[in-house]
Amino acid sequence: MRAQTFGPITMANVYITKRYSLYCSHLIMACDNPNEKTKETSFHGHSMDLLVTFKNSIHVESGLSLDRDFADKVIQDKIIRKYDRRNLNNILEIPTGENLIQSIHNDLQSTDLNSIYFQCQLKETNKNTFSSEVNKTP
Amino acid sequence: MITLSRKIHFSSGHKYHNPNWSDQKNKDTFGSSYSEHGHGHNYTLEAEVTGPIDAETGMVMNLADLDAILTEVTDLLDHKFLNTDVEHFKSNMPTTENIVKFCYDHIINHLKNSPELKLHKVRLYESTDLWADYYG
Repeated sequence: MRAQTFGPITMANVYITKRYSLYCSHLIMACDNPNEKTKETSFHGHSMDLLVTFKNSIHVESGLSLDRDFADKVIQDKIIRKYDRRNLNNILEIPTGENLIQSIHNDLQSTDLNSIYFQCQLKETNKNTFSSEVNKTP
Repeated sequence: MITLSRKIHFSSGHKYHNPNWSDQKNKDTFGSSYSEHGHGHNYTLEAEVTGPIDAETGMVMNLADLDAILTEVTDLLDHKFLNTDVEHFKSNMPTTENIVKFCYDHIINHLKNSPELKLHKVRLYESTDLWADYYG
């Protein structure tokens, strides 16, 4: 993180959350009966919100805990480019919301943001949200 | 224990600029948030207060009392240019991080006389795409 090099930090931990959009399609087969027809077994898609939360101290001289442009670039390169406007069946064996957020969580942990990455959440619709495991409590 | 949350809105201008740095270092640090003339936001401040339900009122906290605290805080910030109009931000960069901490410190100061209440979290929305949470 570029902002981490700018000098002394305060003791205050702040959580910054950024929202991104993912537009994906998928088809989920019924596990016990592949021929069963339901809403989920029809090919469909969602406009989803991806919320990525970072936990970090505030740097005294800049007042920032997160380099926004750097975070946007990493997430654009590693997450948006991989999943946005894609058929998730080509990426995930079982492309449920649960498996998608787990996959995004794993991807985020392998980026340069990992030291301050805290949690991600996926709002598939207004009625259901998936959250990655939180290893550290606020 | 129950947690209640209350929101309030305010609008402020600010400039991400450290006068001790060169223009290039300011640009490198603040990136797209840096501009010579500053910019502004419609902020939403949300406070979460945790406590027991009072047996007589049925409330954790009277929302009118919480509104009064939030209004007192946001009156310090609303329709101000934070870098120059607010004393605290003359020496602290008015980033979302520092503003949420400023609001938290003010709110918790008002709750000192109510030991049964805990300020669980303060959230500050800079926009629908970026917000900051502070737990103290």
